[in-house]
Amino acid sequence: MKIKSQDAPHIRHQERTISLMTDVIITLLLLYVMAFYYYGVRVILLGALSVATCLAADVLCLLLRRSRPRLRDLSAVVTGLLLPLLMPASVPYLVVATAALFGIVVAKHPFGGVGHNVFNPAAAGICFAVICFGADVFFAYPPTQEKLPAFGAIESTIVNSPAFTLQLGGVPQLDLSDMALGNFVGPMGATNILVIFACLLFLVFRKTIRWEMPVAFFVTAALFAFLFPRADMPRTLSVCYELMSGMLFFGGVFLLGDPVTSPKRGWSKVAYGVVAGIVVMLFRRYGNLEEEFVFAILIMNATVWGFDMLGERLARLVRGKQFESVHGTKIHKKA
Amino acid sequence: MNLSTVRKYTKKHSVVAGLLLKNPVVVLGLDLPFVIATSTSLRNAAAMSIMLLCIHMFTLLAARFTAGRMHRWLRMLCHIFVSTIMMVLTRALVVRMFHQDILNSLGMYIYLMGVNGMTIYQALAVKRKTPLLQVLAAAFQNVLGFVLVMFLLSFVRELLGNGTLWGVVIPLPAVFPGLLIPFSGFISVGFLLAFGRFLNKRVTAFLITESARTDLRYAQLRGENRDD
Amino acid sequence: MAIFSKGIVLAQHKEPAFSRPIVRFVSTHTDTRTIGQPPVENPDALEVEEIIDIARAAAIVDERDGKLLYRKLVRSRSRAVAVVCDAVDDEPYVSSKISPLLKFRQEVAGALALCQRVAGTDNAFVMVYKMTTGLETRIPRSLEGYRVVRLGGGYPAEPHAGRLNLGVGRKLIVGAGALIHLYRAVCARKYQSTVFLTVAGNGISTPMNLEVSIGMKVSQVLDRCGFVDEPARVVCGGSMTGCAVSDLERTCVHHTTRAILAFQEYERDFYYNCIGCGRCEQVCPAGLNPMYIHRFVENSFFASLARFDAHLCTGCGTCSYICPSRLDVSANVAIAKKYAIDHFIESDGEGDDLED
Repeated sequence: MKIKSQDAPHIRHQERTISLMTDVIITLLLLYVMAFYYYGVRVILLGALSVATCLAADVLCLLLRRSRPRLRDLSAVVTGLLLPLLMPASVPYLVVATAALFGIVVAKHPFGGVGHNVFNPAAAGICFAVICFGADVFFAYPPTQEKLPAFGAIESTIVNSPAFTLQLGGVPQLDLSDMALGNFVGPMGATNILVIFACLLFLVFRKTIRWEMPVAFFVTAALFAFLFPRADMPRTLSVCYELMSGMLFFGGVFLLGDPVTSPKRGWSKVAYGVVAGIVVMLFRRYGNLEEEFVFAILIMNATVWGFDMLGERLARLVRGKQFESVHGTKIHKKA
Repeated sequence: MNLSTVRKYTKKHSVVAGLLLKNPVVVLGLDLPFVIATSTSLRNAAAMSIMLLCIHMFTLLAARFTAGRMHRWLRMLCHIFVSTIMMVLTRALVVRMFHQDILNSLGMYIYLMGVNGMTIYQALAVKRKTPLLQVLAAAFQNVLGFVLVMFLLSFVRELLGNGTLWGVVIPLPAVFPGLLIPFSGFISVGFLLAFGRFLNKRVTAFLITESARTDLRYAQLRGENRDD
Repeated sequence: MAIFSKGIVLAQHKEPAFSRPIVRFVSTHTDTRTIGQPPVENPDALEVEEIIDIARAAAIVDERDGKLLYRKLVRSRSRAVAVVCDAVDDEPYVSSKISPLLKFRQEVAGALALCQRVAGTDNAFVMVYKMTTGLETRIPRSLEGYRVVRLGGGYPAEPHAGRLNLGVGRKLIVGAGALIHLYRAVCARKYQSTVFLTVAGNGISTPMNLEVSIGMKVSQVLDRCGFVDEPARVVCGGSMTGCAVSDLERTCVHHTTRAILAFQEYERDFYYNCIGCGRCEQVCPAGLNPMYIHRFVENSFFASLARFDAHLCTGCGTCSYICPSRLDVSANVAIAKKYAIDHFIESDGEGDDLED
């Protein structure tokens, strides 16, 4: 009888890495469907190019690192699907390819690859694309309901997004129900607020994202918008506009909640979400570009280790207190 | 390891040590700010190289004469004095060779060259009895190492970031201006450092296999002699 | 976090082994061994020293922690606040403590009374794990006059649920099997030569609870129950904390074997990296962070392990269970625990045999 052996435990949970990733991919594909409805077939082509570039770059980097390419964990596919959703539908194909290449080759593998990367590769790719191609390419949104041609130059009119209006200190003249349903201009995937909210609930119930992070982030951002509106408008309206314009809602769900680049303990996540909310709103208020969410994300990603270690210290204190209350003596520690 | 093989190859390599295995920027990590911030065009690279050449050679010359004669701190002050004077003179030369605009693109780094780390570090390391020619040769090697790295990076960054080479526009399908900011300089130097480590490992591996082969050959020869 | 987490809920798979009668599978050679003491008619009249003598002579080992029962009785003399019968079977497939408890109630009750006399306390109860849905036999609320405390929550049941239910003070906790052997030693002069274990798993055709002679080969026990097909894995011990067995002919049953499980599928046919999801930290009942401990051990950063308190690991295995990349997290935490105990913890001599 040929019997194999393995370490305890001998039964395992059914969930695998691949099911975690497929959950996220399902939600992103749903957003692609919505964008396809608004902007036409170009959306699908952008997504396909981005995924293909990410996969190719991933394989290349893994071969350079002398390890077998393991694409089954689908993390490159998730990055590839995220990138075009943060860009306008009229963005040239080159921009998407650049962002994908930079994200994988510079922001993911030099820091350790899957599970070890410090910075979110999608956010890093977007940052580089914004710096390279400027606000004219990046924040020029085509109007909704206009089907864009798949190839060739885009000749539709360019409309200013509510984020742009807010940055100038104006009040966007948009109906809130329109905004919730996605009938306004903005990044391809970031405008369908209701759909993104449904995706958030799905991911939280499937335990891909833990609830502490998005809740802390959105509550802090809402509070900040409530206390310091950027223009002369009622405070609740300011909260609605701030949360629904630009990349904030999408980023708060998909970029901030990414488990790899966020702290691991519950209370560390809450602290991180609060600080991230403040940093993002400050960037929005005092930044030059109309949407600086991705830059704020990268800065917060660099501080994750700090939050984690503070969380570990707190956990150590809590364990010590529990031990004392149960056993009556302190945990033995070497002097 | 067979030491004679290692010595043979190290001797062969020592001629170009400053360029490859002992490259001051990539291996020793000296003068990195200049490489990161100013390697955005070939003209910049040329200007910085000329400045470093003059400053470095003259300062090491002065170092050869001050070695062993005075206290370490006083030596350093002398070296800085010499390099600052050279910096002022070379700056005038550079402005004459290239256009006045070069000062804008180089910014404060042209003045920082007067106290650059490579010169100060190497100058303090010069010993008293070293032959003058050897000192100058080593200095020249180090400058060549810096020049190599600067030109390599400037070539890539100017071509892909600006679409030009030495101001001449080259038609390219795409241009990425993001490569011109210092953030990309850090990243490109990082990749270059990784490549330098990779090269070092290959050379060491080569040395090990070569010396093993030499050992085997000697062992075989000795075995044959014994048979005779 | 340990305060709020209730462990992970595991599907228990205890039937059909649980409700079947316990089968004796003993070697007559060892089964007839008796101890030197004379037979006892009235267990209630025994002195404390006599009880301890009988426990020593019968060489009874408590299957809960592998310690000799008489030593635990000696340490608990007039010190323990309560005596607890441990029949907690929180690992899936295993029912080797609760099944004998329900089948040999009188023996357990009698032995509990003896232990009460040794410890000098009136407080005694039985501890079982409640989360066993789908059982055909009901677990009673009281057993021969002793209260049955039902621990709820997920796996592992003892650390956090025990703290809430059992009260404060040092207790003598003895496994159900050891109590049955103590009673038999007292009344029938029997030396402990058998152990209760469960044979189960989807590779076994007739899962059941057995009373097996100590020293019997694992292959013999498995032959008694029969295979559905050739198993891919055989485990000696619980499904979460047991050891994989590769040589069935040379592995024998011993005092702390609680189960022999055989599975048909082998699940480790792919290797993923750690994706940093943090699920292991969420489920750890001791409040540790297995993800960082695993990473530090993989990269051999042992000196920085002090802040993670790896010595508090209880070895439950939930971190490996929940890992979606199927990594051996608990094995690495065990390595870190050993390192931590050697380097970071002052030891104050032998541990106490009484528990809280």
